[in-house]
Amino acid sequence: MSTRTSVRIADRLARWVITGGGLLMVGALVLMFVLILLEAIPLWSQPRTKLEAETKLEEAWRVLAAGENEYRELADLACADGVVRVIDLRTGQAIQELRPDEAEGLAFASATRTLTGEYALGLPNGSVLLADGRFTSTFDPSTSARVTTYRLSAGAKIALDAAGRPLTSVAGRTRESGLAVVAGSPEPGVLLAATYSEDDGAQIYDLSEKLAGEKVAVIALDDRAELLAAGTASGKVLFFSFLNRTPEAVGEATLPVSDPAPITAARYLLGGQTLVAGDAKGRLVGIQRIRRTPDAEERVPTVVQRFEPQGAAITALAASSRGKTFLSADAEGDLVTHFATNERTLTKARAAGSTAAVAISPKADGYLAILPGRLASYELTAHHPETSLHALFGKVHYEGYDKPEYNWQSTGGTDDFESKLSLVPLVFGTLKGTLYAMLFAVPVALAAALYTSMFAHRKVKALVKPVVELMAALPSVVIGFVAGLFLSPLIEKATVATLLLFPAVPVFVLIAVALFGLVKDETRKRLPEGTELMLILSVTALAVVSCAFVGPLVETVFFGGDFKAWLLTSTGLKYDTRNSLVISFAMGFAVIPIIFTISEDALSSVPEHLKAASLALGASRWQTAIKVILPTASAGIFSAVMVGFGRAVGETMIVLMATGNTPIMEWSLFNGMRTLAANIAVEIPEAPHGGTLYRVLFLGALLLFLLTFLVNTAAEVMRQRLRKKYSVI
Amino acid sequence: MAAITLGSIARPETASSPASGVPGPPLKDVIEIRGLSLFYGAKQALFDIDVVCKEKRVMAFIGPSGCGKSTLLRCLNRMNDLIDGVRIQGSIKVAGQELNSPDVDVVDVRKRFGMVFQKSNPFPKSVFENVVYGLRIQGIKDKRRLHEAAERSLRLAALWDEVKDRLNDSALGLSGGQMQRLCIARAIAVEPEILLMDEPCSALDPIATSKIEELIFALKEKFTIVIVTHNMQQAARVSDETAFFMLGKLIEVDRTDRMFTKPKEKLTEDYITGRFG
Ligand SMILES: Nc1ncnc2c1ncn2[C@@H]1O[C@H](COP(=O)(O)OP(=O)(O)OP(=O)(O)O)[C@@H](O)[C@H]1O
Ligand SMILES: [Mg+2]
Repeated sequence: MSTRTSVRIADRLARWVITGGGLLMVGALVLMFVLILLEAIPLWSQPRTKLEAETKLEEAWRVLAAGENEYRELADLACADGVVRVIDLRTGQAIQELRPDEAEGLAFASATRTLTGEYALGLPNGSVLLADGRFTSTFDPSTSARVTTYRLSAGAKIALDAAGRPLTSVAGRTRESGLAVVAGSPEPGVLLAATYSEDDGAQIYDLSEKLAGEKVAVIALDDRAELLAAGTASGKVLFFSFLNRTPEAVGEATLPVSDPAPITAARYLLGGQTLVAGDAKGRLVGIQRIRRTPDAEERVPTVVQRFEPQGAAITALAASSRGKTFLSADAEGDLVTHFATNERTLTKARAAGSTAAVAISPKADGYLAILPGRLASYELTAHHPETSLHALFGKVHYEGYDKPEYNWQSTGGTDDFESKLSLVPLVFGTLKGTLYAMLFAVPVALAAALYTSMFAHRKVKALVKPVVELMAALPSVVIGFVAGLFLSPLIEKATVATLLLFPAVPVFVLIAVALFGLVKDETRKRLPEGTELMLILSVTALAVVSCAFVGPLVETVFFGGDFKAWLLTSTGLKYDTRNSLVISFAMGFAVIPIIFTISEDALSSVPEHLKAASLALGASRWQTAIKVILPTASAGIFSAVMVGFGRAVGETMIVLMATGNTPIMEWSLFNGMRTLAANIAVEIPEAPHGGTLYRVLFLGALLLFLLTFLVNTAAEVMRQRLRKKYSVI
Repeated sequence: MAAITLGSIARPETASSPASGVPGPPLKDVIEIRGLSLFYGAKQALFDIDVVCKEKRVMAFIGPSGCGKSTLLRCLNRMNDLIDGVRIQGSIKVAGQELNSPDVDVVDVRKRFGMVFQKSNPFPKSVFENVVYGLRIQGIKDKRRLHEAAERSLRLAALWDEVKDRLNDSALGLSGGQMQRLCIARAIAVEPEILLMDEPCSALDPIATSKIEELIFALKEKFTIVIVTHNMQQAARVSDETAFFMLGKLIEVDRTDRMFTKPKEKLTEDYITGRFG
């Protein structure tokens, strides 16, 4: 009686423990998935905008250009009455009214403001005045309040139009070198430009002839004051380069529409590579100068982005100093924010009336719009404007590239860097690394397992299995370290010899086996156990040695003595020291023990009576292995390969240390890759918590998770089917 | 029992006279075992065995468990080679050719024998593939030939009618008796000279057993058969000659009818009448 109770208790306990353990496992897995998902999901949070404050502006001010300070408290406005005003965004009251002396009390005919706050003011007498406005905030420790001051310092003043006509449009900025570049147009058929430096004075250039009859409507100058874009009444944008000081026409772009309309607004985005232009019918494009063919000298202005069109003429554009976000405003008061790289529309807001000027705050957390008689200030919440499904998984035309590409480059050296967050190269790299590793590991591991389980002597087997299992216990950092520091320079030195190994080892072994077959059975039987293994090992060593000797010879005869140079010149492939060949060995080394152990177990557990049945029918051991043992163990072998695959997909340290981690998309054996796993390891320490990169890395983790999950599920389904087919009574 | 000297063995000459009363040309010796001893490592499992099997006759090996019947059977097609540390002395001749001589290829030896194991062991393949396995091993690819051979052997194994509609189904879906007959079909598909059966009916019900016994009767027309059995009635029913072993020694070998009616040895009599074993 008592035994029965105790048995029942033990039974129930075991069931609870097992069920509990299983549930815990599943729970942990789901939890992990959910945690990763939670970090990645905000990437898709919809950007929001909200009207924050609307204040009256004096009608008489007639704002031409505007800017905002970092804390979104103050705005600086260039007004047509010749005053630069600093106003309180909440009240609309002017706090400061600045009249640059150099303007000599004249009104402003036109004005533009750069992202850094420098004004180009077009005067009614045909002159241009540059004036750098700057907000400075200091903390007063006694009151612990912020004190913000605004200073406007006048720069170059250039008499651009000799005829003294008022400039209806103007653009200009001072380069870091001190050279000022300005451009302006007093009337549609005329385009004037000038450079000015303390030493050389002003150089005026009349570009009107280069307009070829086009009527200038708007002009824009890039961040570096190197490129001038002029939008015309016929819907074209003409480009002039100031690279060599003297402006040169460098091509034109036409909006790709059937019914061209005058360009009504143009503005360079941060970085000065993309010009956004809008026309009278509300259409918006991004124009970059690109090479049409890979080896073309010239860069041709080309429309590469098309943004969501608006209902009325685009009247004002503002760029962000934080990225490729920009704001477009139209004659009906629609205010739309876009992200240039992925052509995404972020937010839309509607303010009645034609917008005269717009500005995005320095932190890109808000923007303001000058409307008839009032100023509206909006809040903007767009945490991850860079990401969209298309940007993550599709080809994107990045700045400086000649065509849309898959690209991963999360951070760059400069503030105006355009982050490239395509996950495709990483998925590619993951698959490439895995494929090469598996190509090496699977045949070796399976052959070894087959030999050990089917042919090797008991004693050999008893030695081989634990040794290989020990191999699995080797930390991957160590493997990666050895591969990166010793193997890769070695392979680089002896690339040809290494490549020769692939045909040489099997050939040598096969020859040795054939010769061994000639030895009489009786003689063979008298040899000590494991002789064949020793034979194969020494033949393999022989193959390695002969490859090492023959390699340089082959290199001289066939590859002109330098394989790397030959590779580059005749196939155009670059040889990286840390390449897929190294990965194939190193990761193979990590994967082989797994595949070997599991498949050896599967092969060994094929019932002895099946083997006996086959042998008794006159099958050789080899035939038995191929026709009975292998198929019967196929489910186990399949899972062995899949577990190995999973290990290779998730392997981090080896790839990290033994490849250059370059996210390229080439199948070449001689360059590296960047895998999803290694990418996370490389970038997560640098990724600000909660930032776009951080979340994209989590998305990468999710992808990795899904990839392994999918593969494992498919493998399990496949395995079950195999198992059913080859199950043994 | 003390009266029995284990060294004394029945001379196999008794079997060289025609087994049945039917006159005819003397039957050929197909298997000739002379002075066979076998060691599993240091342990001797067979002691100086002499047995002769005649062409198209059924020889039954009987004896208590562990006396070496299976071991002796395995010697015939050299399945003992698979076991580590087996050492054999003496001679086994099959159709006059020495089995264990170094220039004999073990694979060729096995091709002359069909073997049916105590536990049915069909491959996890279709019924058809099981039957033609041995032929495929020999490199026969011709579809028609394979089909003919499969049908012929399945008919011989009295399985054809039961499986002719499910040739492509897995063999593992058959019943235990069907599986055993499938294994017989598989063994005879390669048309061996000799069929070795190690307790082929031990896992079967009486109906399946009787089917297999009928089968043995039929097969004897074509093959020499050696069968190991624990079932005295079965030995009496199917075999022409019987060899009785104990503790690795051959106690007596004789025509079955004689053995079961008036055994020469007391041990044999005790065993047959069920006084021990
Ligand atoms: N592979 C082996 N290694 C070592 N000893 C073995 C091996 N196979 C059998 N033996 C021993 O050899 C002796 C004979 O075994 P065998 O299997 O031939 O007996 P058997 O007559 O077939 O018995 P059963 O009727 O139970 O099948 C036994 O003592 C057994 O323990
Ligand atoms: Mg037995």
